[in-house]
Amino acid sequence: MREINVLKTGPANSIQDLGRFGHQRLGITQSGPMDLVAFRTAQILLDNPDNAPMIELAGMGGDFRLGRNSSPVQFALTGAKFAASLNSTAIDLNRVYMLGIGDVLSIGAAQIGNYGYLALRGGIDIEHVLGSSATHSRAGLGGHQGRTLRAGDQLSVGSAPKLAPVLIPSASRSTAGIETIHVIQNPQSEMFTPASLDRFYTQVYSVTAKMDRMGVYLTGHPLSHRAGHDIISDGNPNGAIQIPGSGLPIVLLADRQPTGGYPKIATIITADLGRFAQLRGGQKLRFQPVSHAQALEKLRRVNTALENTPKLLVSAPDRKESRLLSYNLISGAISSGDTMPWED
Amino acid sequence: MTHQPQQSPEFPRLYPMGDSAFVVELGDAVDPGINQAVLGLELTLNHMSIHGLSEIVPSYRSLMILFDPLILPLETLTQKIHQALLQSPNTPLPRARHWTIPVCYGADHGEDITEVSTLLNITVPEIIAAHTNAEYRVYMIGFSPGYAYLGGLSPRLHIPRRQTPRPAVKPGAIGIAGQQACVFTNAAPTGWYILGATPIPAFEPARDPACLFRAGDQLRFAEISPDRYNNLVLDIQNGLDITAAFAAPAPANLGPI
Repeated sequence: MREINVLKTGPANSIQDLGRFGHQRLGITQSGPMDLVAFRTAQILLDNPDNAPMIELAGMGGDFRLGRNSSPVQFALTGAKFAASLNSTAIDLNRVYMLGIGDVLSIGAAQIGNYGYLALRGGIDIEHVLGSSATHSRAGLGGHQGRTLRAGDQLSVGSAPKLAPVLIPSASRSTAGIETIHVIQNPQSEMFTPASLDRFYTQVYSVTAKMDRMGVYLTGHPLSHRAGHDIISDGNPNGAIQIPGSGLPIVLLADRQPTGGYPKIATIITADLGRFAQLRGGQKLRFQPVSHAQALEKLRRVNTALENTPKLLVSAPDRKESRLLSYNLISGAISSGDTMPWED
Repeated sequence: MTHQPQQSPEFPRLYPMGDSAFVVELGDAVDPGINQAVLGLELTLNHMSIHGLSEIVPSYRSLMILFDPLILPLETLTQKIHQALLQSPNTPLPRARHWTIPVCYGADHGEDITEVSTLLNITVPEIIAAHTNAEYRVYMIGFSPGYAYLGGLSPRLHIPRRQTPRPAVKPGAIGIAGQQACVFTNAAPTGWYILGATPIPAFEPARDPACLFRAGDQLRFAEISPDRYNNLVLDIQNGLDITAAFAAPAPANLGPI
């Protein structure tokens, strides 16, 4: 039996799989990971199926421990950089660790980015609602009891044979400067004055603190609509940038409402969605228009990088074994300063 | 009812919305004929089983087609849509269902009814009469699970949205705003005015189908007493077949074309 207990958790952490598809025509939101690349990276590290459910950490992590009679579970953290430790020793992103009996995995606040992924080898074993285990907390669908996680929750973990510990050498992510987010312009952009449309691409926007899985509010100089800001409600794709009466953009993301009645000036390309979702309050960005062909080229590049990830995996040093080796080398003199956690 | 779109040189209007969504607009009005054409095109595209097309989101007058651009090139999708547009006027739509939805008006179930009475200067019985004497069309399902956008509200009940949203309504709340009526399925704050409530759950994830209504359905409201409301709540808990009890095939002139 494999089980993990939530001892403590941030308020917006949820179980996600790739998302709930085929039901938007019934008003049922897609959900799924805010950063698909980070989500997929975690599955590759743990050699899990593509759709295995994992925990998405939104801004704030939590404390996790094995259930009372659970066998050890391997895990990895990807996506946003969180302050994280296993039994008080710092752990890295993009690396497979073992959560052993009595261990406490403690994940604090996000330091770079917003969304982290705590994936477990074998995935979280949870029932599907309408074909998916993704949580849509607003509608009370999927995940653990249709809601975000709470302290005291107990999650079953699917069984899977133990994996050799691996890691992806980390690439540092810069947070300085102005991010460029690529978009495809929509014909609904005709609803804006030419000066406003020009301003949309030239001005620097800031991400506000008003953000969740549904959408992100941006601030900058307001755009002007030619005449009114109502359209007859129609479909909202992932990454749609809608401009309501305020003239300021709201970017619609994984938990967006499937239909809406504000004009959508442009849509963020799929390749840039995860990078956009990781922008934090106060970070600056600019929108740059690209063609459909350019968007696909960028998407192919992201996919190729993910497909090549297994080649990048290297064996993680087995700290337990190297410790034993050092004992031998120094003929039994055990260093009391060695506080490495048991992991493999 | 035919689902031939209104003839206009502007429509159909086809355009991509980002790299993985494609929009087909068949008009720019809330109109039963245009909406019927949307549903006909959706069904035609579904029958074509296009590889790489993942999902279609129909709305009042347009369809959003979600696809994987690395499997289904934009050019191929566009060709398929043109092909579907030619075929869709001949695609028979499923027979529209005709629902009679019981509603308990006013008091605990419709706390805004007296406010509406004051704002529109009509009596509460007149509100109930205007609301129950209309035939509504389900134009689309969206916004939240199973939430039906209804057209056909009596002009006597047209009322602007609230300036600031009212506190959360309960699932089953029956609302009006602008020219629209709706049945709420989720507890949510809203700018709509609440006239009453139905004991019928329009969305139940564990039920098959999860959503009671589908676009193209016709709907009427019928007034019930608070006692009847409570009894129906119990009947539904005890497994009452909602479809059998409240839906009937529409008269022939509302059926397939």
